[in-house]
Amino acid sequence: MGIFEILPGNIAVYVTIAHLLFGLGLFGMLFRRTLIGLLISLELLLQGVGVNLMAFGTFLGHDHIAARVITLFVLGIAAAEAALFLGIAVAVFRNYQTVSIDKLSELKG
Amino acid sequence: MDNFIFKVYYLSFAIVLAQTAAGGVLAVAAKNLIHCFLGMVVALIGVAGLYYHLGSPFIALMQVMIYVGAVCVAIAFGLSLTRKAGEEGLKPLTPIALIPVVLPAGMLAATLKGLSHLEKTGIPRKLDESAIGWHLLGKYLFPFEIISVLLTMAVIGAVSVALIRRREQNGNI
Amino acid sequence: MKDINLLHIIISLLGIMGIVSLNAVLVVWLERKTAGRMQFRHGPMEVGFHGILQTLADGIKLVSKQLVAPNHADTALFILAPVVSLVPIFVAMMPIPFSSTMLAHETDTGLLLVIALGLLNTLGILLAGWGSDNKYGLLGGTRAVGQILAYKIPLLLTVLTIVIMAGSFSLREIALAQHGIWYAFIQPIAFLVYIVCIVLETNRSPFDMAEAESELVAGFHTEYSGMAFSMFFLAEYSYMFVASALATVMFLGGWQGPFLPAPIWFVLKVYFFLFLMIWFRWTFPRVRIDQMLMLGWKVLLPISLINFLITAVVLAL
Repeated sequence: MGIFEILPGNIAVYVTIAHLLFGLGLFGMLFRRTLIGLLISLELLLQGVGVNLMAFGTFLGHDHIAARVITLFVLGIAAAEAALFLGIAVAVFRNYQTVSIDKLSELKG
Repeated sequence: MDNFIFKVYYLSFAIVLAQTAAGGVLAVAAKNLIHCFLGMVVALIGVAGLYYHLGSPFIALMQVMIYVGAVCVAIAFGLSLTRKAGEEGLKPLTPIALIPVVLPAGMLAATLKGLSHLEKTGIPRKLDESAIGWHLLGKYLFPFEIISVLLTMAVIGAVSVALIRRREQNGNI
Repeated sequence: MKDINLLHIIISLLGIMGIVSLNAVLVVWLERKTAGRMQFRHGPMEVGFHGILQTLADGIKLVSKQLVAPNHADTALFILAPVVSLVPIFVAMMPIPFSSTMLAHETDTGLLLVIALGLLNTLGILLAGWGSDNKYGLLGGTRAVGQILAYKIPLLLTVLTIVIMAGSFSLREIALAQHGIWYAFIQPIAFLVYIVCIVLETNRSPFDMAEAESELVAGFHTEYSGMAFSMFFLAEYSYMFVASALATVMFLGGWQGPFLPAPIWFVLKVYFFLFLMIWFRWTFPRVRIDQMLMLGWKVLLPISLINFLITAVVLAL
């Protein structure tokens, strides 16, 4: 149980997993084919940001409540952005009958 | 009994970490978009567990309510409205795939190096979280109001973008 | 960490499992008897005294059925959906106070925990609808999720009204704050809106578009048979129990009452709400989906919002 005992109380773990989520989200944004896949990867990215903020605020900050308030703001903004993205995706599908990113970037002009 | 509680605590933390990582990998690498969606839900619940372990059950529950309750269901609706047969999956891997590996690894190395002399440890304790409300209406009032304006704009924008204009469809404008 | 009594939690979880099973048995019996009496017949009378073992017979039948899955169904989703519906109920029952000392786990945010885990039920229904390779399943699942989403907001607003009156999210504190007068009498509008919302949230008639037997075959659980169907069934009745328990704690003062011991009063009040839901089911005809959504967005949302604002203003003065 040695390695498990140092895990929870350490900021490095939270920072690592936040960066892992960020990297996965970035990979998804570069390589997924549809708009909804892009949205899912974007959400992962924002989760990584939230965990990072919260970890830094809890371990290194003076005011722990401020960390929570700021994380709440990040959650709220990410939710608003997801809603707007979905509205756009539905409108795009209705007009062009496709949400594939390759085809959409060919419809120029 | 006390030692057993700590073993359960560490095991639960390991499960939460594994769940977040596995959910994230599934969300990005799956072919079928519904499997991606499932992976995202698992990862989001894992992140809620991480918030709980960081000492804030309130933020963990807010995460579950906002994300898994509302955003995931909205994404599910969007998913079912915009699906088309041959379009899902990953693009073939090119050397650009090194960017999402190198960039976060570099950032992580820089962060850990910067933290190495400041490292504080200790299991975060739970606080009295009613102070969040006081902060939202006191010190952070301005961001709070701006975010409510932002949310209103997002709702109005989403509705107006996705609205079906009935009059145009019937032909009598 | 030191204040978690592990033995207490394990015994409470076993107790919760017992309550969930016992509740399903009793509510099914109550429903069939009430339905029978309202339709001028007797209801189940054969198995046991006045049919009280009927649910047991049904359970044995369901367990012995073969688990069939359609050929092209997505196996992961198909198996995961009843699990996602049922398992959060066990955790959601933990903060519910059966008396002032009988609760599994006391937290400051008990109410939020129950509501947040109830939202996972939505996800289970969606996965069931998607996982079965069936038009009716998909339609039923999507309709159910749309309906639940539409009524989440008035539900949350009425809950928030009670929370600002009681000053705490903890269910025990909310019940204790009512020792003078019950909130059902101070906030009748919130009470009525909450009852309408919980009938909707649990997909019960007259709002059971998701599983309308004459329209959508069986909605999102069309393709499920045997044990998986009984898991959905169990999840629905347990969710009804949890919603009624929240209603008793928030509006009827929880376990408080004159003569009988506290848990018995709690169970009586919860079963009052369950009886109310059963009564609604066999009295009203089914509502059309667009009428139901209109009721939610255009009627209940403004009413609960105005109620919340008035309460906030009155409390601040």
